Parts: sequence; C-alpha cells; structure tokens
Amino acid sequence: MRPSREALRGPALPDPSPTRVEALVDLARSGDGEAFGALYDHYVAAIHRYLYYRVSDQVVAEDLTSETFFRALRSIESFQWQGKDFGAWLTTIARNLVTDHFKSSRSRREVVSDALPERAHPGPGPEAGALAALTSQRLVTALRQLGPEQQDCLVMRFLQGLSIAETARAMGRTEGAVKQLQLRAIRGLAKRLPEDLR
Amino acid sequence: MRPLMPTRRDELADAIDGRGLARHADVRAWVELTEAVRALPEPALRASFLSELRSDLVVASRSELSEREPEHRAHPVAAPAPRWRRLAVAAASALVVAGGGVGVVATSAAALPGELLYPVKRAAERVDLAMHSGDSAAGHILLEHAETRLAEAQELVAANSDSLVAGTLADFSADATHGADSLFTAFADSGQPADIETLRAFAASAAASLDSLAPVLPASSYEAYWAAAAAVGALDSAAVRACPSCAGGTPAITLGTFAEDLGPEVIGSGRVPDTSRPGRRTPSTPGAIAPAPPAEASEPEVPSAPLPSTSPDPSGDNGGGDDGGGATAPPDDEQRTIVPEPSSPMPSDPLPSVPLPSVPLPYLPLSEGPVPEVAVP
Repeated sequence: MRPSREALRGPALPDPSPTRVEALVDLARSGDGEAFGALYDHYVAAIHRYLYYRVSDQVVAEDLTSETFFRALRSIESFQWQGKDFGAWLTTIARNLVTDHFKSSRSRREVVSDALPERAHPGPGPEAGALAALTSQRLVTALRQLGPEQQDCLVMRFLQGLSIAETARAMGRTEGAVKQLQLRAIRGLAKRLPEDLR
Repeated sequence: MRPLMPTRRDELADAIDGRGLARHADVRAWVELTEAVRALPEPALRASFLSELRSDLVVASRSELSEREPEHRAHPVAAPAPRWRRLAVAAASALVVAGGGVGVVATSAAALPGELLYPVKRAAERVDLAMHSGDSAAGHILLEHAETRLAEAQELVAANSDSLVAGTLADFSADATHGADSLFTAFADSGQPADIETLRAFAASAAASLDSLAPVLPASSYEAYWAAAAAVGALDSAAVRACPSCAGGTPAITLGTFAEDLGPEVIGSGRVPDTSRPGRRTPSTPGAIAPAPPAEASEPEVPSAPLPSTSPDPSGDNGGGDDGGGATAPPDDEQRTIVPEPSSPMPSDPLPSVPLPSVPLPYLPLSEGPVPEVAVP
C-alpha cells in the first residue's frame, strides 16, 4: 500500500516566517510535550513574577504558578488564539487563579503582606542602598492599596512586561481601556506615595 | 474644549513606550514612577521548584497530549527519569529561564541518542523545521536532519552504543523520506532542478556514509540499515525518474553497493552478483553473521520488495534480474512502498539467528564521475 503523500510529509508546516514562540505553540498544540516544556521555560519567570506581586506570598505564588501551567497543558489543544498571544493567554489563566484565591476563605484569613520579595541572591546589589530599599518598600505598600484591576494593569505592564495589546488580551479589555486604566493606576500610585517620592 | 484626560492618557502611553517625550511635567513624573515599578526586585525562583514543576509537566504531557505521529519516536518513551536526572535536565532549563536558552540548545547540538540533552536537540530540530515554511525549505531542513542522524549513527557505532544504532537509522530513513517527499513536491510545483540536484547529492553522500558504516554495524541494526539503504536507493531512483536531465543523468544508486560490504556470508544463499569491481573488504565479524530481525516482530512491514523471500520469485517485480546483469533502475512505485516506518527499538542481545533471505541483486556500478556539488543550505 503506497503511503499517502500526507502521511509522508510529516507535521503540517505553519505560515511564513513564524517566530520561535509561534512555532513552539503550534508544536505544543499538536501534541509535542517537549515544545510545551520549552514554552514553560520561556514564560515561567514572568508568570511567577505576576503572581508573586499580586498575592504577595512566595508559597501561594509557587502553587498558583504550578496550577497555571497545568491548566494550560490541559487546554492547550483547544488554544485558539494566535501563537504570539500565548503569554497573554497564560496570564489570563493566572489572573483567574488570583481572583479565585482572593475569593477563597483561605485568603480572607491571610494578612496581605507588604513585604518585599526575598532577593534571589542575598547580599549587596544595586538595590542594597537603604534609600532604594525604602523606596521599594513604599512602592510595594502603595501598590497593594490599589484596586485589583489597577494592580493587575501595573503588574502586567511593568513587572511582567506585557505590551498594551497583550495586557488588553489578558484582561479582556480594549487597548484604549487599558491605556486609561494605566493612567489611573499610575496616578493612584503616585497619590499614595510620600510627598518626596512622587 | 477638548477634555484634558485623553490627551494625557496617550501622552503617557506614548512616553512609556518610547514614542516621544512627555510634554507635561506631571506626565514625566508618572513615567519615572513606572520606571521605579519596573525596578522592583525580582522574586526568588527556587531552582528546585522550577525543575520539579518542569519534570512534572513533561510527565503529565505524555498522558494529557495526544501525540499525532508516534511512529516518529524511534526511541521509546521512557518511564519518568530518576530524580537526579530530572534535576539535571531542569537545571539546564533553568538556564533557559535565566539567560535565554541559547546556551542549552547550543550545548545540546552535539548530544547523541541516550544522552540527557538529546531530546532538547531533537526539539530544537522540530522548532527549526516549524520555522521554515514551503516544501523546498522544509525538504532541505529534513535532509539536514537525516544527515545528522547518520552522523549520530556513526558516533554511536564508534562508541559501541549498539542498541541505539537501529533507532537512529530508522529516524534517518524517516527524515530522508519526508525530506525527499517535500522536495519532490517543490519540484513538481516549480520545475527548478535545484531541489532534485540537492536530493541526488544527499543520496550520494548518504550512500557513501552508509557504505562506510556497513562493515562495523552491530548485528542488531542490520535490518534498520537495510531499510535505510533501501530508502536512499528509492529516493535516488525517484529523483532520476523525476528529472533525468538533472545532475548529469548519473545512474541511480542501488543496493548492490551496500550488500557487497556485508559480505556473502550475510547474503545467505550467496546470490552475489557478478561485479566488475575488485572485491570489497569482508565484514569484521566473520562467521555466521545473520542479521536478525527483532524477536518480537512489532513492525510487520519489513522492507520486502528488494529483499524477496527465499522462494524463487520469477515475476521480477522487484526489478532485479537473477544475475544482476540486465536490471536498470529499480522498479518504480512498488519500491516506494518499502520505505518503512521507523521500527521500534531492537531488543538487546542475544538475538535469535535467522538466515537472511536470498537477495537477487541488480547491480550497477556507481558512476566513477564526480557527484555534482550542490550546497545544502
């Protein structure tokens, strides 16, 4: 029996000049576990950073990071967005987990911490100066006082590094709405900082 | 009057994204604030957390994801690796998280089957392939992969990693066949000889590599070797048929070249064709050399067209004359059917000894002329 041309061709090839991430997403979508592993490598730090700054707890951040990627794995074969929006999709999953976390009884009993994250490499570094540390501490405190959507916007834009378009995707809003939210959030942050730091 | 807020909204957004400086002082202050937020410390990412999560995800992916083409996995899907091994691979992955991953991929480029980073190497090849669209480009990439498989097979033989050779040769057959198919499609669409010339150059080079491998192959890989040789012969004949005027019309490679290397003992009933060339070297392992098919024949479609059963086959639809004299190019489409799926890994030694069916071999000497140099990008 002559093998069909399709059978011999191998995996379907995507559109012209996809980026590496888009290529990985296509591979993962069609069942390639190694490709999913490579996507994990690419996105895990940013997702963890978003989660940490939203829930302020290392243990919870790790739990939610893990849950984010397992959920992504389970639903990747039905991922319909373009490959380039994969990061925004992961963030959507993470964001929903944050919402659920704050709704749960567990989080209501927790005191939301204003503590800065533990440094990955303890010891003197660029932020070691006392003034810088103080600024960071106050910044985090002020951030915590903002509403969830404003926190989301600032953390996604400036700690996770998402673009306006990606943030809009992740939050289910228009780009104009995200720009407006960004403005309000920064103004809100400034208002909550001591006079000398604004 | 235009409302003030939208203007500041866009002024802020533009300044943050580097599309111009902020005109207003308050906007400039806000931009500085965003910089301060960006500079907040990175949360610590525990290496053990990262590595364990990664390995848990990879294990879960085996049941969660439905692999569409399992026949490409010539190396078996292993049970979850021991903890130290998972941590080692994940530590490599942590480098990806920290520094961009180029180093890990580069380090994996020399990995051999059985080594820790080999899956990374193959994954990088798949990404490479997915980034090249179009039949011609894909075909070139797949032939490059096939050549890499041959180089791996040579290194495995040199390192006495016998059990891994068969799977690697099977992967070679798959990549070579897929690459050839893409190039045939490209040629059918474009009519440009370059793709066929690339294919023929690949075939000649692969034939030479297989040629040099034959005397030193472990017995467990003979069957995969035959399949690889058959695949190369088939794609070369198809190339000649597709474009007889390409590449100077060199006669097609046939199996005769390879069979000689394995020696008459291997060929069983000794139907070795007449040759006008001096005898080749005998295999290094004399005696009852019998390429043994796997004890459990999990792949029933062993290449059979050029290797007919011992019962005399007068129909000659394998294209070979009994004496190897009158045969020209091997038969057409039937031969393509013999391109096998990559077989599952061979069982380890000892293998039962089964006499190889007799092989009437059509023989044509390889042209002594120079093979056209075609650069494979």
